[in-house]
Amino acid sequence: MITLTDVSYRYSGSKRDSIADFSMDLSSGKIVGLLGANGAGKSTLLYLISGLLRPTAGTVNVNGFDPWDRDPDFLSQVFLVPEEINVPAIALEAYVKAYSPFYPNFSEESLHEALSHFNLSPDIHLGALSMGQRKKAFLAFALACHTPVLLMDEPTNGLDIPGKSEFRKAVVKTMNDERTIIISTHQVRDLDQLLDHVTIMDNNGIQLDESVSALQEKFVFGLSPMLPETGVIWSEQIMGGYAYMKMRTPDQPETEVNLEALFNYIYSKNKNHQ
Amino acid sequence: MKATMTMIKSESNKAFSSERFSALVKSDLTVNKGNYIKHAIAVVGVFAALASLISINAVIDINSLKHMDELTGRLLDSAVEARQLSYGSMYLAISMWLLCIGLTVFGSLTFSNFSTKKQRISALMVPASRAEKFYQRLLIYFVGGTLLLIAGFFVGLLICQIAFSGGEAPINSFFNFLDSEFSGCITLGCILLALFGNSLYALGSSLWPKLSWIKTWVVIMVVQWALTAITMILAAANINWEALFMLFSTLDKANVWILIWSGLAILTLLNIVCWGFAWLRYKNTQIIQRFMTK
Repeated sequence: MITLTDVSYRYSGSKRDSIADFSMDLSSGKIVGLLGANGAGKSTLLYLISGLLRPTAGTVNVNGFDPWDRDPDFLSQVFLVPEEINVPAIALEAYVKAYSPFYPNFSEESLHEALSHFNLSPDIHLGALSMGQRKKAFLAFALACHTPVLLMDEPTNGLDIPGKSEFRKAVVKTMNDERTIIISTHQVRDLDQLLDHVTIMDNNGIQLDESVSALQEKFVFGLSPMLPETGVIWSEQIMGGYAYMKMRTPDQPETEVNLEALFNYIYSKNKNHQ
Repeated sequence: MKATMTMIKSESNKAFSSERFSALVKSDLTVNKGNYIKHAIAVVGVFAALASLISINAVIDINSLKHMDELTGRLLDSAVEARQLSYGSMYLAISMWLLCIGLTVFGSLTFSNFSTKKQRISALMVPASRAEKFYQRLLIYFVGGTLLLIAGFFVGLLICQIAFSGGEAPINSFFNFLDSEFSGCITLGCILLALFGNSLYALGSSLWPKLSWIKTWVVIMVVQWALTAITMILAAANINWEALFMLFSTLDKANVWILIWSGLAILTLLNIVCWGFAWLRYKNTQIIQRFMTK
């Protein structure tokens, strides 16, 4: 369970809060997509949850721990995959031997499985890999740690097209009811079918916090050569027609959530309000 | 993958667990093995190079002395010993200077794992307490660095000893020094001063993990200039310096000892203060904050 209550954070030297009076409750067993424009405070939020930053106001609670205490037991329950990873140029085997003892739920079997998803061999040397391959190896390790909280900042950046698909499969494979995975990303298309909860935020707080099933009940997302005549709340001209979003009526079938459309709808709505 | 993992048990002591600490040290040694080997080679290499240079010069010089003796028939063993002593002292003096520089360099590397945001994230997210992480850095760069420098010093000493083939070697002048009345205090003072340099640069490293040595050196220079300026202003003031010097020169032995021990106590205190501030800074490190580059 992750609870943020009236959390604010301001970087030193900045004139405004990166996050202001932010509150959020997340129960376990969810894969949460954290979406927001550049500078909306997504990474800051992940850093606050992982105890890398101390809130200037408000409280953060993660599974009963105050992250800022950096309690070793808390840290063994949280794994952060930052946007830019720091992987030493050593053999993966040595890396695993060095860091896995800190994570009580680490599973070698899961690591092998995740590595095979990414087409990587367990006896690789991290220094000999490309940036994308290194990220895959790191993601495999992160997933194999089975920490109750897994935070990922732009995890699909630097991954090739098959890598993105393998990433989704690997995440689903390691997901369980005790785990919370928060993925902050701009690459919404990479995660369309992975998330079961969507949080859209900006500096003023949460703009949308809904489960994917609730979004499917509320909205209809579609592609059409012609723009539907009624009920369209957002649309964008694309090659050969329109991507659109409508309020759903009970007689309409549920559609898959188009995260990009949803984000643009919320973003434009807020812009108009301002 | 053959690695066998022993998981760390959750400990009741959140601040310090020997099991976590040893796992932390092991993981650091595994990850940074290459760097530490380079450090060791560099340190031993510098001392060995210095000793070799001095030894070569000493051997040439002493041989020329012996050659002169064959010509003139006036060999003075004492002249050879004097040369050996002078070369030995030269090695000691330069190596002491190198030891001090080395300690400041290792001090400035204490928190080098915080140089970039990426490194800070991975260092801070390792499941160990703040104290364990702090002591681990101390163990590597303070204890390890000091031992490495001492090892390098003795390797150099050994080279000189071999080159001087059993004559009046640096090791003798090193121990002869310990015979003088105040040598104990001077040695202790030198050690404390060297450690103060180390702790000062470690504090600098906690403030500026990137280019730490240069930044700390600049700050020390500025402070030194400021202190010099203050001293000069005081000197220009109407103070009876002569009387003050007279006071010092007429101090009896007991008072000299009080002065010496006060100086040593101040140096010890300065060491503690520097490490204390470094700890406070380390404890409150966030990944993005003032003084640190993004």
